Amino acid sequence: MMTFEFTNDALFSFGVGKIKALETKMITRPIFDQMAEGSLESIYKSIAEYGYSVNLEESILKSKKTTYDLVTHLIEKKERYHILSDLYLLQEDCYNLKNYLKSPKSPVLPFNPLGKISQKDLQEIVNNKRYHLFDKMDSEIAGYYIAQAMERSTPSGIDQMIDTLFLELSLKKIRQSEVDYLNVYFHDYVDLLNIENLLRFKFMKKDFSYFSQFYFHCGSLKKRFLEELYREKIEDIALRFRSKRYASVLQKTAEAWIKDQNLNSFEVEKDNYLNSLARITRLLTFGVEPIFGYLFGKETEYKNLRIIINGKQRKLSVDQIKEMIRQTYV
Amino acid sequence: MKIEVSATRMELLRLRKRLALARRGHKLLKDKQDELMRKFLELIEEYKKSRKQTDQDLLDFYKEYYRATIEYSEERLMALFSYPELELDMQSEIVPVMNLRLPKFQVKTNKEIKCFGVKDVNVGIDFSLARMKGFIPHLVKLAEVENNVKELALEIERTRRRVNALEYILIPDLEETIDYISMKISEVERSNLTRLMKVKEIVERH
Amino acid sequence: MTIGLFIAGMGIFISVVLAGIGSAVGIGLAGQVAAGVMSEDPKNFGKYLMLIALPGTQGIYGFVIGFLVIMKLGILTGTVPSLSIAQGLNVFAAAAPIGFAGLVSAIHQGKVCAAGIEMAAKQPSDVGKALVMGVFVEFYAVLGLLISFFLVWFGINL
Repeated sequence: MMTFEFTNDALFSFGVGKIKALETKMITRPIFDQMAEGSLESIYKSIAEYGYSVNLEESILKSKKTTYDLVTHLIEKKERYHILSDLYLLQEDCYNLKNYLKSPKSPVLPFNPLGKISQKDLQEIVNNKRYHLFDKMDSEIAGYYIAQAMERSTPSGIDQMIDTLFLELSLKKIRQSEVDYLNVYFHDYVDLLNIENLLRFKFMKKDFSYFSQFYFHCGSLKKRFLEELYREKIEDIALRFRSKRYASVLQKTAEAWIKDQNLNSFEVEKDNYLNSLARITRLLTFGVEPIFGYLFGKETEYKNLRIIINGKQRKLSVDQIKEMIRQTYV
Repeated sequence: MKIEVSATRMELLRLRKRLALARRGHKLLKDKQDELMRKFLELIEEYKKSRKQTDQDLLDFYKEYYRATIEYSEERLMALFSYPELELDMQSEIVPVMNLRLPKFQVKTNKEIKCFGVKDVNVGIDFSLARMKGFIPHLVKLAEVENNVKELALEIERTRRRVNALEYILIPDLEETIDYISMKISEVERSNLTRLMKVKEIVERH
Repeated sequence: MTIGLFIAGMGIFISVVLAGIGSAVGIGLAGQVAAGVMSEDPKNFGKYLMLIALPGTQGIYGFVIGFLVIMKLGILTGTVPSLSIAQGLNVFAAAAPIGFAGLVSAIHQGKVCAAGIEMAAKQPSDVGKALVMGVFVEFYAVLGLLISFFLVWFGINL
């Protein structure tokens, strides 16, 4: 159907309006900080106001389900973005796929109901090579990586192949949808993932060939460049990235490493940087981006809730918990 | 306490033999006990050191691990650790110490402890697991030493009971009985002598 | 019917239709956002009402100018005036400013109001500020209206 539109902005205005109203019901950073200071009972009391029960995982699952349904419903409007609605479900599907590949006979873990692919289809995909059930449009990519995963057969190999599959498919879908914001987000995400692994294996004193098993080639950092970095000191690595958007992440990590030889701050800084990218969408009035921003924001909220509750249960100090709480979306 | 035996010269000889044997046994057992004690003290030192080291290792590990896994749900952690890749190559041999057969373990870790991908996995988890892989041999060593200490302690107790039984019961009893028998025998001899003297007197009178 | 009258009619068309389209798009934008917000927060309808209605004024301005031109031409009295081409162009030029100013300003006002509604969704007390920002855009539609009004009222001599 030919539609006559003066402006593309109107496409998601209903959705954006809904998202903006929902944002007011998200937990903000000051509230998280306040929670970290209270006791476990008071935390349970305060998260109850936001719809999370004492059984945190169950309520997170419920919240995830409603969020996914909402976002799928909101971006359904425009055909070009249909491919995007699979993105977040893909992650859940990959989780199921990994578990199935690792133990096909007797599953150790319960099936995750959030994904798009049913348990039966999953068996079909793996056993009868019917890869188009996994992804209609890109069954070749799916087939290639699933076959690779089965060939590698070690748990870490399977994880790596399925993760690569996820990133490849995501990037392909994002490129097709032509949403620049998501493109930027995912490139930075993959780059930071590669840098994280570089630091991880470098400080675990593994050689470069071990690292290259875990290298993701869909980012913008080339393997040769990383090999060069592999021999350098962390301060120099940080300097190499000083012109990138995420320069501060590496700089702070380098400082923390020199101070007390741990990379914990990298995780926090990385998440904070990615969240700051997600927060940009909060400033937009129109377009599909705020809807995705909300999705990322929700993920951060779940993470923060887990940090606070687990931290309290494990009796970590308030400062330690606060240090780990990620920058929130709102 | 005196042993109930007939007070004959034959018995005396037998008891003297037994006493000599008991004394020799006592000396041997005493020596064994001393040696066990020395070994035990050595092992205890090793155990203390090993225990302290392992406690510290575990503490460091759990500190790092708890911090790293704080943002994961139980299920996610299960997904990470349910399919281990690490293999422990364990070799055991039996080392004789006195009459004891103590086990000795040798453990080698092959393959990586890492059994999951890198996406959405905290750096801290990898670091803590690498730390764990480093102290798995220490854990096995601690188990070995702890077992050996227990075995030795039991053996020492058993030996000490035997030594004490010899020292405070069997040897004094034997000595007492020997004394008794020799006294009895000399008593009999004396009475025999007097009887002979009496007989001789009677014979001389006639 | 003369060509002059046709051109004058085009002037009326432009002022009413373009300003009307602008208002419709603007209200559509603001209305959709408001509907989205209210699907989660139904209480504050009254607060958003002014922001939704604000882009609608351009359509009214266009209608007013169109009506004025019709009155000026005396069509309401039942007579069909005969206009030269020059007179027709004169009428066209008089009606055009509100048409174009209305079209563009209404769409943009719609965007400002939509943003204002999103802002008010987060901080309901800021609805006044959002309204002020919308009124700034309105200002330029009013300028277009004034020029069209003067041109129609004083500039057309039949």
